[in-house]
Amino acid sequence: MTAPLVLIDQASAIYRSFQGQSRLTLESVSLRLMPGETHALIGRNGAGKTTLLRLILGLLPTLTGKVSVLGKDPVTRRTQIMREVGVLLDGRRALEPRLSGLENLTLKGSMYGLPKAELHDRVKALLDHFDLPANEPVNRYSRGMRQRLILAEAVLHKPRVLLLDEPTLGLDIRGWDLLLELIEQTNKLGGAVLITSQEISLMEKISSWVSVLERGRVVASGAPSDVLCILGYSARVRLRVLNPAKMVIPIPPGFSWDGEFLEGPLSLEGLEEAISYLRSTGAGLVGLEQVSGIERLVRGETT
Amino acid sequence: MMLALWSIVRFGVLVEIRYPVVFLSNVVSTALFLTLLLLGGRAIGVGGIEGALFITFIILAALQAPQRALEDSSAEPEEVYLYPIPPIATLIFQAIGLAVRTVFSFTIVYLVMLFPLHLPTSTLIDLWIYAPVAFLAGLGPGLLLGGFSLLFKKTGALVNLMAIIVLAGAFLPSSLMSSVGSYLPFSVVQGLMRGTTDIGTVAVVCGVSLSLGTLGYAFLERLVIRMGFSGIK
Repeated sequence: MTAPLVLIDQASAIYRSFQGQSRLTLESVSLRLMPGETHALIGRNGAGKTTLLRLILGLLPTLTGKVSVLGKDPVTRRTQIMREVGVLLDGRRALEPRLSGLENLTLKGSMYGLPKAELHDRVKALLDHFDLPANEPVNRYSRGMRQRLILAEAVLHKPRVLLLDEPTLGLDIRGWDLLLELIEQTNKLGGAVLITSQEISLMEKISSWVSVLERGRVVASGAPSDVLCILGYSARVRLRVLNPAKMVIPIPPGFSWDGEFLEGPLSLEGLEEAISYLRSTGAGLVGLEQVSGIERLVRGETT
Repeated sequence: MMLALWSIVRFGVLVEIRYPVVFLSNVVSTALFLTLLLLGGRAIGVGGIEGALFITFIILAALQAPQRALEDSSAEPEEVYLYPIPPIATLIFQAIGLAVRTVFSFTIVYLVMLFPLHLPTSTLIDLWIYAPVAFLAGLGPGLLLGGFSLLFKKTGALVNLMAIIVLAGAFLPSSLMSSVGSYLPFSVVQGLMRGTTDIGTVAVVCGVSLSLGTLGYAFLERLVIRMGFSGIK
């Protein structure tokens, strides 16, 4: 059986204050990150996603339970582990704005101990891949370009474990595509990716496994469709109404009306019923969109 | 690891020479600041403090660098913990980079001020000879301040306060220096330059302060991680 690259077993963690008070931030969290897997951590702000990444990086000790990264304790063996871990915390990494993209990556690559020749080739390939000007100072880069450079830095040393905390900040559509390619490549090479993001559509698209965090606890974990099934969150459809004034009660069963959107279950029957209702009342239809189960879950909607 | 640490120093120097106008502006403003200090020193009857002042700035580079690296506004506080290099080594080499840049720019500053202020050329040679010792003298307290920066996050004001105290030390007359400053890492280097302290005392004081600084940083680092504080700003 393949060993997990990251194993968290019933781990709890606390933040302590100077006044001696402590706040439980993670409670009996368990998580496995397997080779070739992309694992999405989802939850609202303050649910404990970044804290969990800090636990994996050994920046926060466990109160109870165990954390192991590549078979090692991250608190005592962090420097060894970091050779094989690429990371983006809170969507940020340090960049020297007065140096070029090439120089920034060369500096960071040398800190990962890459040999000079290999580093040169790797930096060039990444700058090409992320479509970044090699010799332009970073202070002339746009926000999106800086984010792409940060992503390039995270994978510079071909990590086996990639921890991406809010990697989409400032990325445009092209940046998203590059991020997806990066994750695919990492998985293909047997690496694992743990990702947190508020971009739900991205999370649904890329993840093979999802863990839902709520107030420091994992409330569900599994394949995305299984998790939603367990929690009772199915995808829904939202129809934007052309003439809200013409909406009359009763609306079709299973649907809700918020004054702008008519929302109900995503099914052929439901859609047919809603459209015929909108046609008969003369309310009309401007457009429709799918509301994913994960999005509903994160919003805290009731099932 | 040495390649990595050399890169930190190399790119640090590169940043300075990449922007010559900024570099020259810094040289001019530093020269003006030092001129004022020197004239002020002469006015209150403290002569021959050129060397002490220059060495003080090397000490300040070592003193401030760890805190600056840890409070890098472009990144999370744990940035130096995200590489396969012991964080303390990264901080020390960032301090070396800053000290090298300081020596380089101060050499130019000194050459600019040499003739207008009738400064002795021997002081420039002293600057190069005593710079490594001055760096070591500042590094211990600098690491300790770095540790406080991990714990309290925003310690710029504390570092500035220390800088003012160290700078004021350059104006201490020799008589006071021999009593008050015999065992302080900042003043023993000045004592060495003035011939009031021997190299053995300097080595012991610098060694002890560096050891205490390293141990202090390691202790504060453990405390910060144990408290789960490292990510809180």
